Amino acid sequence: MERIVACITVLLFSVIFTVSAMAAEGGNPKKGKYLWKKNCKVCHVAGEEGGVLSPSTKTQKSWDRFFTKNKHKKKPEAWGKFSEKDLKDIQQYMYDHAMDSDQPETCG
Amino acid sequence: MSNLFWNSLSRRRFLGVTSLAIGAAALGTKAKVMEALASSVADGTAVQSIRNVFTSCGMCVNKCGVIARVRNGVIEKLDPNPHFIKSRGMLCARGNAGLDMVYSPDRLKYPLIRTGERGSGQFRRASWDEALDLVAKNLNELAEKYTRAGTMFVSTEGFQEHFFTTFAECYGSPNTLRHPTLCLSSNIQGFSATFGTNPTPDVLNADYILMSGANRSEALLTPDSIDMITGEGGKRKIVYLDPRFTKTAAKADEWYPIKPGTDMAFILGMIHVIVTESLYDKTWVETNTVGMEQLIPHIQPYTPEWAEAECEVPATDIRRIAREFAAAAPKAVYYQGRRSSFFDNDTQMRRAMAILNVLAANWDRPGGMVPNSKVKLEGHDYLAPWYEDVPERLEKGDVAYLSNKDGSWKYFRDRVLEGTPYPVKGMMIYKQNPLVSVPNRAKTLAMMEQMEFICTIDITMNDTAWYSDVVLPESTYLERDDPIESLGGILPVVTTRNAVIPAMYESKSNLWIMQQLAKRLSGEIFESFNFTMEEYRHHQLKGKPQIAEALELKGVYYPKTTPTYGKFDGKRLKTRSGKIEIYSAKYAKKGLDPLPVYTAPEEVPQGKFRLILGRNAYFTHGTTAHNALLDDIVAENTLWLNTREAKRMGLKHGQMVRVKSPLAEEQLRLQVTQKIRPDCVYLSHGYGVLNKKQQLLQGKGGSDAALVEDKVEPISGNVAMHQTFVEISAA
Repeated sequence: MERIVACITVLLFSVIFTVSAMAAEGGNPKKGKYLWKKNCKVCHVAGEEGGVLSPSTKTQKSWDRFFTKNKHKKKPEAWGKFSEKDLKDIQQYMYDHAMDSDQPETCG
Repeated sequence: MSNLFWNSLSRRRFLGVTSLAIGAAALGTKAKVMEALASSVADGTAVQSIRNVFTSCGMCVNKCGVIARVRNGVIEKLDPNPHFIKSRGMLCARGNAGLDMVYSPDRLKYPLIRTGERGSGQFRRASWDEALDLVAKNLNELAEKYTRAGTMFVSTEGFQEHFFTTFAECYGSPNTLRHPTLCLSSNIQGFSATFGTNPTPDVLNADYILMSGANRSEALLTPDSIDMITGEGGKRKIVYLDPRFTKTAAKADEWYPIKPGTDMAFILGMIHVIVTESLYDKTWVETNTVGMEQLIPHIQPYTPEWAEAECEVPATDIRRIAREFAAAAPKAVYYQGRRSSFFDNDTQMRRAMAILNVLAANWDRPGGMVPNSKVKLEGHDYLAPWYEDVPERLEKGDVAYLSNKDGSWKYFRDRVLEGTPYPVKGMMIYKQNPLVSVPNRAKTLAMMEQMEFICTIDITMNDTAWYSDVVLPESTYLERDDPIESLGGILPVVTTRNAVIPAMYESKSNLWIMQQLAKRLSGEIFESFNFTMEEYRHHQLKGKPQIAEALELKGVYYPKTTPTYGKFDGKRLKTRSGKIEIYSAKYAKKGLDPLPVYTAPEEVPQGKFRLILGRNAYFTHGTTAHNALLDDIVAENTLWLNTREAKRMGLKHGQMVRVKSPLAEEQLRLQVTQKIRPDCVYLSHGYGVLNKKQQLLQGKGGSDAALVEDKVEPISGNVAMHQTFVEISAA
């Protein structure tokens, strides 16, 4: 998978439009983490095409908008590699660990 | 010992050697920071090797900077690193006593395999290969029988803990169980629900500090413990609430022996005054927060007079303190402390504290609540294999806000004992000692009893190791290279550990242990551990040569020496609204109180006392209890009882007493003192051990873990340790 969300700026502008947020539901966040790390992080690290990106880069609403509206429009072929179930799992992982998620900070 | 050293190597020479070494040494090599050869003055024949090694203390969570003085391969003294700004160039008694962690005759030396009944203490020495093969065999069998979630991974903070939790993830268990729900999880939850993060109080620059039971002069936290008594030009005022007259009380301007569990009433009383008298910056609050309109009616019933009836602090004082606090704002903080495992209302109590700070408009301001800064390092990029059919965390859904990584001890253990929703029959433990640290020891023992396999990695034969099947000896923090560690704060620092001496006996670093186990489990798992520590550290510092250079030169890196304030001005916070949330809509959505609602604690029953816990400055929980140098200062815990009550009961200072809770009875020595409320008794945590190996602790003191009931704070899953009532009688 290449260049998922390669152009964050474009995405940020795209999410300005008011869209009713659809909270991710039913995905498997553990599987989503695996898929994200295996496929997406190839491009989304410092120095690579997609630039640094992590679940906490965006809010839950932004992630939902990305997965329901944007769908990686910068590079749709990367999106097409995944099944619907895979995408749901990745969305759940991103949502569960978003900037404003319920995952508390920790110690150490 | 330091005198001997300085005779051989003057400070000028020391500094000269330092600068010479900078050019030669490279991070991760055996040339550690500074090395010199000095001729023996005494006999003129032997050549002495004298080395001075920058490292980081491992005696508690603070990680203070250390220079280890080594002569002929023996660590002679641990000194503070004067460059280490986080600890203000200081090292406490525990830090000095780190030597005994290395040279204690009772430390673990070899891998051990249990031969007798669990708890009998019968072990035999094993080779590393045999012990690791046995662990791997059991992990594979447990996965086969109970899924990979059938093994729990217990650990606590430390520079090499990451490798343990990574191993758990690569093995495939969702059930990691860490220390925060025995400590500060309710604190983090309460402040994060308000600010989107748990900020750091700018103690150094605050003019007015309120503290509730945060005993900073004894429960040391750097730099706060030092900064607390510094202040600026005598303007500093500290108001301290604690049922005990601690050493922090002695340093405070005012001390109130507040009724335990009622701090929220005191805080709400203060908020009432500040709101009704309009003592807050309305423009700032309107711009930066949400929920003030809900707070104003909510706070009306919580008058200082009402608060006095609850917390026993006079209403006139609450009113005055509130006005003083508001006048000092924004350089006024309600210091949230660290351990917050006191009562079952603790998250909401910390929410009240956070809201009071909001009314001081101290967010991201000098002397206020400052969001942490952190130096970013390159992370460990690993890929845990995916396993089908592994269930979710055991206690998922039991806590309003459960941390996936930390879990919740109380709920998790109950689930294991119930066997629902699935059995957990394996236990891997690194550095944590749950038999000493988790309330209701009988339950922990029962949980361990039903385990089919238990492996503990530690440096000493503590109680948990004593009840394990395989015990693996880890090298101490002075014997190993550790990862580079970025410590967040108002002034963030980067530090690391360099092996001061080679690992003694057959002890190994946790990284090595995890690598060996990973190899035995699968090639795919080992892929995530296939590196040396040198490579790992090199990766962490990729593109940041200035950090490597500073670590060589000064043993610490810091990007700045003065705080940066206002970096969040106009920026979105990590809350749902993006602003500071006085009213928590997400709490309301979960059916929780969106604003703190006070509930009075249960009254102390007639003839009983409330048991409260804490510690002294020579002691870090169970970790340092078994240390000969610290044992010289405080050898056992005692039961504090108010003088009036002791007289009434005919009990004498120094005599042995029985302490009986609904769970257990312990015996320890009585300390009669006026430094505690008459309705409370106190003991410090970590004594009364079960094992027969830690010689210094045999027959010493009583176990709080045995006595304290496992009550819980349901929003964060933190335990509530101050809700147990005990009876006292002569032994």
